[in-house]
Amino acid sequence: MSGEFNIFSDKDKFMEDAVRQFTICNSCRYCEGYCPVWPEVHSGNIVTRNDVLYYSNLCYDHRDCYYACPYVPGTHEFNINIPEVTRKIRRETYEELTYNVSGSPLKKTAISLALVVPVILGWFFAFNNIYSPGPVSFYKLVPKYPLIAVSSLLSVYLVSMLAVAGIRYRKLILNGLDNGNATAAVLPGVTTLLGVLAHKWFRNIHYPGGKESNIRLGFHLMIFYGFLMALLSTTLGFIYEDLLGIPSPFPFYSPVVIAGITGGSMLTVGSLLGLAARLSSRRTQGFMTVESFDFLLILEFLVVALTGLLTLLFRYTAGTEYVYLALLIHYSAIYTMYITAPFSTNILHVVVRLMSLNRFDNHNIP
Amino acid sequence: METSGYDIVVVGAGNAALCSAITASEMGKKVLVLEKAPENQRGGNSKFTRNFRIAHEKGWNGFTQEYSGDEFLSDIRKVTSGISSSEMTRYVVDNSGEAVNWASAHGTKWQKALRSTLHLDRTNLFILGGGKALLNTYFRYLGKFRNCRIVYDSELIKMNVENNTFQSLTASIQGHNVEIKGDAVILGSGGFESNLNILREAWGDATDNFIIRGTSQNTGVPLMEMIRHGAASVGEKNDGHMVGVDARSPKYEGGIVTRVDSVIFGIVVNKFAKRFFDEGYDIWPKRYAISGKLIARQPDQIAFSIFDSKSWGMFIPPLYPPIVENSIETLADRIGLNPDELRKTVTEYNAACPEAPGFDFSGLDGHGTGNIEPAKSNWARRIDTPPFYAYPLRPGLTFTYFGLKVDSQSRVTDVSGNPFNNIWAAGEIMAGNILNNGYLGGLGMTIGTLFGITAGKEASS
Repeated sequence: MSGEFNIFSDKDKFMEDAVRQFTICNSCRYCEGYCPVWPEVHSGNIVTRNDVLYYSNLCYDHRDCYYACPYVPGTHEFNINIPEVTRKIRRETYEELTYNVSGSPLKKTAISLALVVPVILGWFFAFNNIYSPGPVSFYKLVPKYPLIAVSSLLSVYLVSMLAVAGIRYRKLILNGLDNGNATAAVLPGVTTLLGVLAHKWFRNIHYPGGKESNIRLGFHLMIFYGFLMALLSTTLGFIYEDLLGIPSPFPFYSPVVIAGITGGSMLTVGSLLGLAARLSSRRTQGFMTVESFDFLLILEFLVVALTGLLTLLFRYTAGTEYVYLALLIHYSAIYTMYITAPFSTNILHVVVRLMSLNRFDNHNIP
Repeated sequence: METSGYDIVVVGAGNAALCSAITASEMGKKVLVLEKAPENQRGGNSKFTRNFRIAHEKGWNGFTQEYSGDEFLSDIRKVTSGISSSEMTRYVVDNSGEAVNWASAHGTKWQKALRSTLHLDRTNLFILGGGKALLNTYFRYLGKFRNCRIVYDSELIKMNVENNTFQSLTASIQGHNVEIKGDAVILGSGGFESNLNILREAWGDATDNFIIRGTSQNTGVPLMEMIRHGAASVGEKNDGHMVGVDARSPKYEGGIVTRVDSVIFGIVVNKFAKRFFDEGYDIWPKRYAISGKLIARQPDQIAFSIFDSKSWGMFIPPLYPPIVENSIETLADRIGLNPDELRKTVTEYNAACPEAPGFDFSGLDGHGTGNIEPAKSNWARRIDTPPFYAYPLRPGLTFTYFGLKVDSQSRVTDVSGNPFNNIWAAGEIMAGNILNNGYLGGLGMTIGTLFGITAGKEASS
């Protein structure tokens, strides 16, 4: 395929202006040392629409460039506001990557919930053997094989959806560029992965207010590693119980419980901090128009983390019914999260960010 | 606001003015900063700057090569035709590193030389984010001092000076005239590049076609007020840093993005499609710094940089797209030149180009034209491969050199050579003491910082 991948056909004016803004940036270059966007902008002679898509998805929204710019709206006719441009384009990119499913995220979530919860509840009543004698077992709520089947199906669905998004994104940014040798490395390299793990570009972001802070670094680290810890806990639980034959419940010093409590707590605190930062960012002038932050996904994180923690807590303190109730909500929230994930900017950005950073590292690290 | 009781009144809020205000504030003085612009446009010409030129040893602040004081001095002499050799120039060179140390100590961050500015990576240290980022850092720092007050929308309209002593000044603050008294005043208010009336005295009607690349705030009122009070001046009113910029640029404040770097890659013609200077005279920034004045002396102050597809992609593209056509004649039509004349000029130029083995645009390559007037001393490559490109050029005035004569303590002096008792000047308003024609990139920030600190110190002691 050649030519520009014109996903913004109905938004031509906006893209035209985005190209205009980046062209001015390319002839200025004062911001070069701020973030990965600028070495990439400055490496080309002319700016195309495909370039702009890529720059936008490399952008971390530090806003250093906005504060350093002598051409910002209200002070200069050039009207340069790159963070606003890139945020709008990121949102458009995400919509395009998920086939622009109609309806708001809220609607999607509601539909998902409507689909998932009855199924779980159906099982709950159909296999209603939680009061049967013997120790508490999660498989009494949902039996083992249906649970594995549903989880596997949902995992396949999520991975496929994200893979499709990745392929589409690659098409978007590579089209007409690099004379074909940009096929390099779809899978991220070691440098890129290490950078992501270390949150290399997360320092000193002008967020949630106008001043530089590390608040976003803080809550992103907590959500990122909290999520991984929770995943680790679940995986370890499966290994212990099903592969090693060690029956649950596990003692509180078991790695399963420790990982679960740590992950759940980090996710909870991280999500709450993120929500608070987002609410407070509404007061920052100049950046009100677009928000790429996914409110619902964070709520889902919170519900998953809290019910996970409660399930653990109730096992040691409360009655069986409470354990199963917490677990029921926990399962429902996880499945809801799975189903809505491909439509969530916060999940999609994992794919898009990784691919963009990988491309940047391929260009800039010898 | 209080109108008296200030130890020091600083006029202006660019780099030099802020260096003075910070120094005086750190010394515990009660300081008032009067900034003509509203808060969101503060910072004068400094917000368009990007680097400091400093003498340094290898390894200092990440530099991989040495730039000795002697070489720095010789570079200044080259661009000022040897005029500038005063002890002040030596002072700037010898203390240039201190300017950077001071800026670092006050929160300025640096970055590697920008792409396509490799010719400066040995001599200049680049500000991370450019001048406005540096100013933001200084304003934030200054905001911590309770003994310093910054007032925006405050334009100086009159200086009251008696017996070589500053008494008070009248400023229009948010539209109201206010008389402000202080024990000393530091003028960090820049030159007069945005005052078309004064420019007209020097340049006549050509002024109408000038593009002012820098701030629209520098009308030179404090400078002219001091001249009225008998201050000695340096430089001529037609001295300034004037470069060729894209003719489509805004009248004011276009900044760095208006520059056109294509000149050395082809030829430059005037409205009669005639060449009028040696486009290959020297490398950036010297050739670049003279092109503006040459264009200012051409009819209607318009010129066109013409080159071919071989050169597209070899320089930073300006903010506006080039004019592109498949023949020289149609290109001439598009830009309003006589097609036959432009064809003739290009043919003559091409005929004078050498059969060169290869052109090296990273330095003077010695591949000059043969017998042609004017000659092109380097990079004389034929314009023969369509499509053909053109950029329209106008004189772009960046700043002016006509300013106040100061002594080595940066104190303003009168026409008989005596210093005013309590009036200092720093930055562009006195840069003409060091540079009075030609320009070396990054020197303005070094001068502004050093004399800003000096003025702040001297006025405080």
